[in-house]
Amino acid sequence: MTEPGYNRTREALITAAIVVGVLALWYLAAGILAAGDDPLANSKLPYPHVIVERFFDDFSEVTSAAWTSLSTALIGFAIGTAVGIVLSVIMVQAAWIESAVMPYLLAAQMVPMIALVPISQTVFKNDTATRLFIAAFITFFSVTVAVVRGLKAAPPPARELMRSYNAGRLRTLRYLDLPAAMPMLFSGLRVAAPLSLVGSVLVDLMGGSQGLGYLMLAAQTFGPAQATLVWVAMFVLLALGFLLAQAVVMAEKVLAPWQPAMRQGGGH
Amino acid sequence: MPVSVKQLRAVLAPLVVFVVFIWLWQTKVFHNLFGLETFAVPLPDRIWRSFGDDSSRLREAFGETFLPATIGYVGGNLLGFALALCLMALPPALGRRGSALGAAVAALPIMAVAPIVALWIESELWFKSVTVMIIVFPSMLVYAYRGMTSVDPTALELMYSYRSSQWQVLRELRLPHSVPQIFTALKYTTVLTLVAAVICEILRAHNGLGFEIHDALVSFGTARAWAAVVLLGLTGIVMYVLLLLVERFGFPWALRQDTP
Repeated sequence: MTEPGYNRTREALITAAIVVGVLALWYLAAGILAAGDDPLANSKLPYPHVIVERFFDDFSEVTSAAWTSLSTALIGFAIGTAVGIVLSVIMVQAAWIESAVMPYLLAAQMVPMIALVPISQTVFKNDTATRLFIAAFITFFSVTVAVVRGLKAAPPPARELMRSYNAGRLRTLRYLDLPAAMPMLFSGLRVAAPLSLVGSVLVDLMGGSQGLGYLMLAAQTFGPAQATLVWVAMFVLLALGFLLAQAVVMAEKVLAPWQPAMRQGGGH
Repeated sequence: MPVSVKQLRAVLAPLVVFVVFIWLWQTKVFHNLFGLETFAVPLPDRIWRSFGDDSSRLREAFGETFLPATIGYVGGNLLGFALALCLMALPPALGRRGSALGAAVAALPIMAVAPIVALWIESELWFKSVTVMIIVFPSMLVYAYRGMTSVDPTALELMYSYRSSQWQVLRELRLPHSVPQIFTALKYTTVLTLVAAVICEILRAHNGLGFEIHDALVSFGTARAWAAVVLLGLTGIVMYVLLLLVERFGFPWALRQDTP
């Protein structure tokens, strides 16, 4: 048995070493590329510090674009989650509703929803509405499928116990099924969170005039001098996606801390 | 053969929903309800006719999307699997970190990858294929590695007590054990593949179904745009169902393990 404290320092050291290693490789590759005679070297692989500088140079522009993307994605995400939970609770109440709707929900998982962005733009004729709709729509499907599965996850003995207490549908839902569905809900949310962000950003690419996608497109059309901005936008998007995923994990820890998997991870 | 109520319901209920939905759509009930115009949301029969009218265009666009999607899908999954095997050869501490790195790469939004690849690759075909590959490989890496490392420790001990070599453990225990996980990754990456291809086409490529949607909308051919969307959706579903069939009939033992 090694001491946990010692282990953690070692883990941190190794992680730091990997980060330093990746950065070193990046500088090396960028250096080699810059030494070659490719005129586009600066845009193909700029030095990391150039990207950081660019980020601070265009700070206000980048943050406002990021905010547009993030806020619409979050609102759509919330709407999609709420609708998904309500619908899945309705669905499990009656077997015929479930068997009527479930195949479509499952099929929707295999369909590239992103293709709906241009179409919904012509329907809504409004960028913000499209962003919200797409984020909500994508979230809705993965949440509903997950929650329906989760609502049926409670062990049969627990269900029998509730019945022996003469607990009604509402009480069973409140005290047994909804808590039991929490892990599945969060696994659905983990899938949906980055997708809602992608949906929101894609609207910018399709003629929106704000947001990170617009920044990427603008940078691409205005030539190599602007290409570092693509990299900046990429890293900001990456950070947002990471934050969103972390937020879901944090929310799960706060709202459903009783799961064995959590206790193991957070126990020491 | 007697048909149970459950089976009947599983077939009839979705069918009824489908018919009612299309009927309401066709008779403009939705249009009146939400104040939609038929040029923004075409009626089902217009979309259906568009498959006939624009069949050559749609077929060409389908090929332009499908080829790079397939190259990327196959290449990405092979790459991911090969990398997972490489990680297996490393000491566990390093392999675990490699897999964590793969998970980090898997979190890269397609939206962020595509513009960078666009800076590097001129050819439309390879721009799409490489983007798809980058999107696909980390999921396969993570799932395959998880499948190969999550074997039952007692089975592992048994094999070592028989003096099995690492290679034998891999072939007889780890690989079969990872089949369900590999199929999970294969299924999960089908939709990612199509999403990535469409995003590439909207971002820069001037061909394929994604561009066709855009192009049709700009030239007021909404029915053609909807037909392209339907085609994309069907492609995703068919790919998924094919994988399901391969899993069911090719690896029936693995399926049982997956769903207790």
